Amino acid sequence: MQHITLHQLNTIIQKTLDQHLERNYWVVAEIGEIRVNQKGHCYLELVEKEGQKLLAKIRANIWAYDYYNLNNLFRSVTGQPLKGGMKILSRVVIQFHEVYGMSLHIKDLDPNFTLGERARHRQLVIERLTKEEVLHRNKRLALPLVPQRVAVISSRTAAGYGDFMDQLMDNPLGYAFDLTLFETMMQGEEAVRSIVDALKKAGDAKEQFDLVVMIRGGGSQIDLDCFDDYTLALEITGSPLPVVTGIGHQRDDTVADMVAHTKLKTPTAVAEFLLSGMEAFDQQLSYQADRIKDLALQLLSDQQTKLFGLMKNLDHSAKLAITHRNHQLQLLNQRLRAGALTMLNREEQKLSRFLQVFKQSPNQILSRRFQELELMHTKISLADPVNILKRGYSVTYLKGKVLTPDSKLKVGDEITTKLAAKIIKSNVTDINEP
Amino acid sequence: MSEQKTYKQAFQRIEQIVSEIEGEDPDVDKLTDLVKEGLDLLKYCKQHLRTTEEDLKSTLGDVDN
Repeated sequence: MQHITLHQLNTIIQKTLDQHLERNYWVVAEIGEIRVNQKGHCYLELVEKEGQKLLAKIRANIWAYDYYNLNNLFRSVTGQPLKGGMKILSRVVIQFHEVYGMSLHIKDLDPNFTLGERARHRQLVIERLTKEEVLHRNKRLALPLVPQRVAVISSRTAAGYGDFMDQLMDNPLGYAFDLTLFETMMQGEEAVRSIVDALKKAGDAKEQFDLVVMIRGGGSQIDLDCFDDYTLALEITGSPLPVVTGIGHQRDDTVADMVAHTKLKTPTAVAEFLLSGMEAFDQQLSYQADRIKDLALQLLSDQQTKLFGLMKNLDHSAKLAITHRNHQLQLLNQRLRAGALTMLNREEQKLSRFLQVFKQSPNQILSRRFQELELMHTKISLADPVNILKRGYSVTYLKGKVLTPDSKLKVGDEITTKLAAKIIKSNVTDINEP
Repeated sequence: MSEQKTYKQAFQRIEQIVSEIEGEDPDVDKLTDLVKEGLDLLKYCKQHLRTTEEDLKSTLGDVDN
């Protein structure tokens, strides 16, 4: 089979290009990537996109001599240096090198054609977020006092993630971090959905985290497109946790950076930021500890002084109070003693009166009874017939019965007359009615 | 005094006896027993007073110390 060498092919390509191409073209393209080497040569990656989709891409360069002037001109007109994301209008010469392939040599720029598709897109996103009044929503959240429990949104394989972890885990002050990785795609078409999901998950578990960091290592600037996405930006602004970005680029901020609570250039810078937060808290603790110590000592000293004063007062007051109470007690003691003795005395008197009764009353009673008996004796004695007979009276019986005025007495009856010392029997000789 | 009486109970009984003796028609048959009971109670009450007095003096003395 007939064939040619690669060099021959490249030579053919070069000749064909030379024959068919114009000397130069004015081309509209977006700067996907731009960097300047030590010699001052500028290397770019020019792209054309439709939405997030890449339609065309080619390497380009501006030699140091041109770059110095072109960049200055560009800056003077736009206020910004050449940077990724800008759409530029440049006059290019197509170069084809047998070894390095095709590239564009930028000879001139139209700085008036400045804001590229991407920058304009960003501007639109920013305007929309501003209109919706959410642009600074995440910034209004307070940073945690201690940024210790961190939700990390990153790709496990990203170089920046490794740097971040090393920096935190080997921190010289030995601060402990509780890091939870929400693994995501950090570039490409799936990146936005993947990062939004991770933000939602971290937000749902907000009690477990102090903040969210979104990190990604270096890489081509073209890969940063997803960080200008409206959906992602909106999710960041609505996160209940402060979001710190370290997307790893040196160019102008992405929209994600702009709406994040704190934006830092690199994952390493994020790690330093977290460490500085911990250190600040640590210092604050030390400061507070010192303050507590000082205040405590001051308090102790004040209280000692007060106590000393109080002790002096207390001593005096206590003595006064004791004297007063003692006096009161003495008075009470006297009253108690007097009262008790008076009461005893009164009882004693009552008992004495009773004794008097017991000594006198029985004799009086007996004496009264004797008198009563005497009286009765006298009365009885007076009524005794014997005593009447003794005084000269007599009793006459007729036939054994006492002779009374009603008795039927006739002459010749025998009557018996009883005297005190004699009994006389006699016959009735005469009866007269007086 | 077979049963232990309080000062108050003893005193009330003495009052009762005195009122009976000083009454209009004291019962002579009970007189000796009443007087004996009264004197016994009196003795008890006096003893009670004396004990109380001594206790008081001792207690009040304690306060002074």
